[in-house]
Amino acid sequence: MSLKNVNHDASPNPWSITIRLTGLYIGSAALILLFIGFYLYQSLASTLAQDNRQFLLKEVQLLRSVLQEQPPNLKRLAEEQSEGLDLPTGEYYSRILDKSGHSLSETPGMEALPAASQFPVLSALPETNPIVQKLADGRTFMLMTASSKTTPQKILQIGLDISHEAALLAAYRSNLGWALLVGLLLSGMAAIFVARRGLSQLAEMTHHIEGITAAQLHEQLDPASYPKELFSLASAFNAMLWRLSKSFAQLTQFSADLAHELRTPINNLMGESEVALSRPRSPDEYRQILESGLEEYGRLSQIIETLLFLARAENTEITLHTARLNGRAELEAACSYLEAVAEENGVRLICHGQGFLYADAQLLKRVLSNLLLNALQHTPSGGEIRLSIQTSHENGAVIRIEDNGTGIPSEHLPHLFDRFYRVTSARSEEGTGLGLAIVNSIMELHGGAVVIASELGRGTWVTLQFPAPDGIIGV
Amino acid sequence: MRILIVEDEKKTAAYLQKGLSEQGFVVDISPEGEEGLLLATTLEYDLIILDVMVPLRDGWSVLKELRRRGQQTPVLFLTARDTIDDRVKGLELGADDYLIKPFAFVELLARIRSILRRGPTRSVEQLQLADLTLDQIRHKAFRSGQPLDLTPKEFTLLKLFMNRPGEVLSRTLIAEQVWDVHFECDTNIIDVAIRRLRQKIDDPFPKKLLHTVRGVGYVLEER
Repeated sequence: MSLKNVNHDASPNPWSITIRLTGLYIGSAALILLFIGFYLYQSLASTLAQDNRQFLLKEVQLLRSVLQEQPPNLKRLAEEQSEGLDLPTGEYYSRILDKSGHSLSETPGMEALPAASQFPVLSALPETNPIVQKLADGRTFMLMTASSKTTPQKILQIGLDISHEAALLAAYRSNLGWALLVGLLLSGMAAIFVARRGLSQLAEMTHHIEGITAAQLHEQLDPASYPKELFSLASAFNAMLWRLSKSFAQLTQFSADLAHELRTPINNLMGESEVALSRPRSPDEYRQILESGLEEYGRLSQIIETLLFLARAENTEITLHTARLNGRAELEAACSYLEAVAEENGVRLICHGQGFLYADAQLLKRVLSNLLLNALQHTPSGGEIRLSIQTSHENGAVIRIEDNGTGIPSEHLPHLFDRFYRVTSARSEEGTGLGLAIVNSIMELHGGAVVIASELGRGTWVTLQFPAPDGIIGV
Repeated sequence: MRILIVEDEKKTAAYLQKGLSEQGFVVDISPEGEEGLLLATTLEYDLIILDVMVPLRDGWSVLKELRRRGQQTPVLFLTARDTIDDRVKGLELGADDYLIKPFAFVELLARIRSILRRGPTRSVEQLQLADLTLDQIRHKAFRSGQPLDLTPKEFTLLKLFMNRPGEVLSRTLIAEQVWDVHFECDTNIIDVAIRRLRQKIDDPFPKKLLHTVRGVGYVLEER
């Protein structure tokens, strides 16, 4: 089992979720506040401007009506023009020009306002849009030009002192700025609080996970106690725990099986040697004991070799020497290896089919001979074992090994690939109990699969699936 | 024939020396790499058996140094490490063979003999042992002049024994040489194959030639 060495002291990514959340929160709060502030300011400013314009228009109407009187009433004009002084809301001044631009009459103090040429120029409309101008003395004026609508035409220029409103707007702006700043600070603090609060369940989960050791893998998280967002994480974590505990159980079982497996030959060796040494023996007896010992050693070293192979296959430390193989030839080679055993058991080996497959020749031979050996052990005299190969573009190569022997009881089928699993409980005979585990490992190394089906009294059917190599047409 | 064994495991060194001496080899033992290299460069050996993990200078390095100095003495590696990479490394460095512990002694013997035998192999038309004849060209075998009805694999098996008369052949070696099977498999397979060969070449005749060496393997010889 290869666990990657994880550096537990590694510092986490500096951009913590809290910082990110706070940043995003402040950013969006700033945008919203800015937008609202801008909107409020704009609407206030435009209402004020609209009021002032209405006021100027009203004044223009008044002056027009005075000018339209026949005969011209100069006294009333002067009264009207000076009425705008002494107003608490803001003074206004007016000036009346003839067509050539000479001032005919004006409010006293009008000279402090911009010169006639500075006023907006009258175009086709009877009144211009007002413009705002700040004077050198600090006062702010709204200026408008209008036609008198008399003949000969005179030009009316009116200036309204709006310093008061300008000051109001300036104060409003600065208030808004401060409100924005304080709002941002508050929202930042709220964001930190909310983020911490929101992530507290994650911290709680971490705490729970930290408490899980190998001995209590069953102590799982309760996904229902976590919010929706963490539910799937908790479930996935539970699934991982489950897989881990399964592997652990398998490992424990495997160690126990292995110990048991080694016990038998070692027991034989110890016992035989002890009995032999208990009294003097003839050379022939000693020889027999040594020979018997050698057989046990052979058994032990075969178990070791096989387990090493399986361990390496599991860690994919085995380099595949994949080559394009003639499937039929490989089947026949495997049969020739077991032909003597088959003949002795009175079982016929029949190969058919054609096709190429991509596999490691030695490993394929190992798979085939293990499977054939199994089939031979379960096929009585007179039976036959059929080996076939079939290839297709999509599915790669399929090898089938079918016997018409005794078959395997269905309760054993799920365990066939377990190490040391034997269908018959007697472990004295038939190999190490690792044959099918090896077949499975080798097929996995090839990215293929092995499937075993069986029916009592009818036989066993093994299917080996070899994938088509990428980019190469497999037939 | 003189063999140098560089091996620090005392029991291993001792049984190798004993076994090889009994087979007629002159055997020197060195427990560490530096001394081993010194012996290998000063004395004349026909073969050096190197353990990979020995003190002072490991087997790889001894071999590398030997080849650097232009010594072409055949080298056989012994090791408990057997990743494919190790094997490739050993052979790339110029080792002649590679044996993984645990190994059968006859296996080692067979490999030593095949290394020492290397060179132009004379192919003989007819192999003969007692009244057993093997005609390599016509692919036929005879016992006391009677033709034997052998399958192609049985013929190859018999040929292997005829080429190495008197030599104990392990099941592993037989599986490799006859069926190109380079993995541990049920040894029973070889036993059955030998039994069937025996039924054809020995059973009908009073004098038996193919003998079992229990726990070790089989040997074809006149007893």
